[in-house]
Amino acid sequence: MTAMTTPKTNRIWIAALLVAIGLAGGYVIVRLILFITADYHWVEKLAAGLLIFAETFIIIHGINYFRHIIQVLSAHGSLSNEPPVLPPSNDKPPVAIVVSSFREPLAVIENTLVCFHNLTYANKSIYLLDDTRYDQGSPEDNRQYRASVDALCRRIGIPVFRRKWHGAKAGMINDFLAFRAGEEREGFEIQSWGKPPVEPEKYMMVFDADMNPFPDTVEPLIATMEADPKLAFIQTPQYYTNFEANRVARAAGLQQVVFYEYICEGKGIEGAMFCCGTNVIFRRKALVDVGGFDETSVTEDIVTSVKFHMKGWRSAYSSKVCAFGMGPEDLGGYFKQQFRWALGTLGLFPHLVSLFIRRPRAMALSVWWEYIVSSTYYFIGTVFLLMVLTPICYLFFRIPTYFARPEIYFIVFIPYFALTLLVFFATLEQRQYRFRDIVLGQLLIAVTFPVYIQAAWSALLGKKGKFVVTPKAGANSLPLKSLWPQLLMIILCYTAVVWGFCRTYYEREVVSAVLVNMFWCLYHMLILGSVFYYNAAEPSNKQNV
Amino acid sequence: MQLSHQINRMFKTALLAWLAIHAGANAQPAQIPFAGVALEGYPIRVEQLSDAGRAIGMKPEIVVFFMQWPEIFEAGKSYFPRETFDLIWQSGAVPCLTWEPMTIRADQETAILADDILKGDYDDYLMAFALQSVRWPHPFIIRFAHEMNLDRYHWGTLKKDYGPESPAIYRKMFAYIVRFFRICGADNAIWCFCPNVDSVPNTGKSPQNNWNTIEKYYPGDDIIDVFGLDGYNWFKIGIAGSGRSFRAIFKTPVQCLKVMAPRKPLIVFETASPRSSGDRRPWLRDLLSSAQLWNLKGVVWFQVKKEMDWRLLEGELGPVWGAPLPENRAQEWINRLYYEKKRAAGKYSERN
Repeated sequence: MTAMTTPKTNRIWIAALLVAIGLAGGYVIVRLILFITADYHWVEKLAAGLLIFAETFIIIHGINYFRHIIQVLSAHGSLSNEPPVLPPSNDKPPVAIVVSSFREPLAVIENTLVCFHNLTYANKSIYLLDDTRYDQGSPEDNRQYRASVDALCRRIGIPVFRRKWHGAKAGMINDFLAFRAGEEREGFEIQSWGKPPVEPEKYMMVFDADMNPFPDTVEPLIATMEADPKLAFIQTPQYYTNFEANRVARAAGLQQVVFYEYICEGKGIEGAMFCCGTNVIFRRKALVDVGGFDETSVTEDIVTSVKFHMKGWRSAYSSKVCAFGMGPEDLGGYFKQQFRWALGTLGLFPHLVSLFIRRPRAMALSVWWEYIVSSTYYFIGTVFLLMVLTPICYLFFRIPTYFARPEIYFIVFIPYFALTLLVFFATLEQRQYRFRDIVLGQLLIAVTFPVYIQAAWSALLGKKGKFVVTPKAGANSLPLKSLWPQLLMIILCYTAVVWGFCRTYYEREVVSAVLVNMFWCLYHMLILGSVFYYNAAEPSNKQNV
Repeated sequence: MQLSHQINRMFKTALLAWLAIHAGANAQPAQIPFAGVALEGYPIRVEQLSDAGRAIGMKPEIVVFFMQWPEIFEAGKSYFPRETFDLIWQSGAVPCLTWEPMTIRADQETAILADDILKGDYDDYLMAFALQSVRWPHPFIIRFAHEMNLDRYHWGTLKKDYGPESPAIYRKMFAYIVRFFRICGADNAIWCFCPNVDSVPNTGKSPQNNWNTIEKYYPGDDIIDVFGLDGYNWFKIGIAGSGRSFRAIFKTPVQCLKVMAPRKPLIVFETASPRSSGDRRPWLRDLLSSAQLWNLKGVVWFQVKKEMDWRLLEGELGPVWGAPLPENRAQEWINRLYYEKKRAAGKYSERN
């Protein structure tokens, strides 16, 4: 359907989005007024406060999402995902294409390097940054690995850079920048097959070792960078090739979609796009200006982005997919990935708040807002748990958290809930994503709630945790005992429904309130039940290249 | 009164039945081992597979074939037996490559020296081979340098140097090659340690040969995924006592491997009794009952006429093996093994 590009339909979209935002905002306001004015016991007030916090959290993120869609609509004139037309470029400034690899299998490195080699941009120098810790592990293994990496690079004709290990990827890229600037430090080593140019490259494009870029990736990005000298970096999306491997891979891929389709585009238009660490092109001058990558944080990418923005550099997002990677293929792998992302992002939240208090004028308010909203996203697990618990508490312990007569609830809640969901799915459908697929992506987030909660705890306590799950032998499903939080909630929801049924039958009081809460318990039970669907994902034996 | 009596009896029967089933489930189920064939020549042709299938009375579940190393490495040439692997996998069987580190020119076998391998002289070949394996989408068994406890092969050395140093040389060479595959990411290569049932030279003839025992060659649990054994019934007409049962041939070495690593799957990759031994059905029945007793994962028949005519005839193995077995069970088994390995390597879920 390309009919959706006329100004009239655009106005309808914007109107729908604005109404959705208005209803959502109105809902929160009504709830807050009821909460403040109602006269209840403090325990009930506390419970109600938590629920309002949860709802407000979701609505803030929801409104921000809709705001991004409006931004995309206003900027592009449509919701369709036609590839952006990027200006042609006549200049061909030198670009360093780098991949940082930490003991990656050679097949993975080979694929990436071959893809680099095939990039059509002529004025490029390719470097493998071998970040393998040769000071760890068995010397025999290390010697053989190192020799094999050298042999591979010699064959393809690509220089390998090594250095004395410090600060993971951020440290490696900083060292590489210093090396290219002509600095000589202890431990710097280059195995030069192919000749790196003398002058340091004006731009640097960074990929993770499992990313495979398309041949025409570089040209349009360079054109954009050349057109705007204050642009520090352009981030491009990260999609998965193993989309069809099984249901977890599919859902994980689809869950990325919500982020990359509209959120990133909106952030880009806002000038608040942060760097995601791979598939990104940097201006060397900008990196030098902010003193290189931040090495103090796990989320060096986002912290470095903040530094750029605070120093007046701009950032952009290009929605043209330029590289594919591999997503997780089972719940265990997905949980690990999400824990890492959640821990890193949530750890940023206190940092951002303190920066904001100290230097509120360092960035535009809208940019601050974007960073802070993004850094709180992974509280979603805690929020989800609160949402699941409140109807259970009501059914069992009669703790009211809503403080309103059912009529008011229906009048305020239903329109908001229905319209926001409708708009959410409709906007994604505009980009050819099917309802079912988007639901699958969202369900996967819901069943990950214990992982996000654990990450939130670790982040708030300042711990650097690791998430460990061991799948069953010979299969990729997790043992049921490691899914106890999901199972416990399912059982609680179920018993609460049964209890609620008894209450409606025997008490015949507040029937509509009990029914509403029973409905929510059932709803959450169904959502959480999808954990079985994902845990039964068939192993895929496709190789990872 | 009569009704309650009846219910009581029904209850008791049900309880007993449940107990019986439960007890049965607790005991080690005697799995029918996978039935495989070892075939001569390379590449394997499709008729060879169908002939072998007819002979053993079922689709082979494992297919073993043999390949040597090249004399000269040519860059860009494909060394990985992809077509043969495809053919075998598509037939429903698990392919097992017997990878012999030697060259053959005009029937002259020359073992590749471990020193040269460890020096890196074969790295180009190994890397090409391993990177090509990564691109094959299924797991396969790789029986590298099998029957190492026979002087006939003397892997890694010249024949004259086969001696007390050989086990250490062998272990080093094996570890180097497995590491190479691991570095390349070829986790679909399932490594097999496959000695011969008897060592030659052996301790029985002279105590100074006590270096030549199976366990001395074992490269280690972290390197080996699957155990194998080769052993034949060298029956000679007219020579009393030359015939041995499957149980007699394999009992001691099976015990030896079980002690070394009780949890590793064990497969007999080469066995046979010659046609000349007469009615082979009793021998086959003993084979099956022993294999079940020892919980062997599979048994591979040497379906080749070499030195003797070992080949099975239609109607010999089929009736012994009995009822048809679920299709692709060997492939499912090795897929699980591969999956575990891939996960232990921990790479795909660790990255973003």
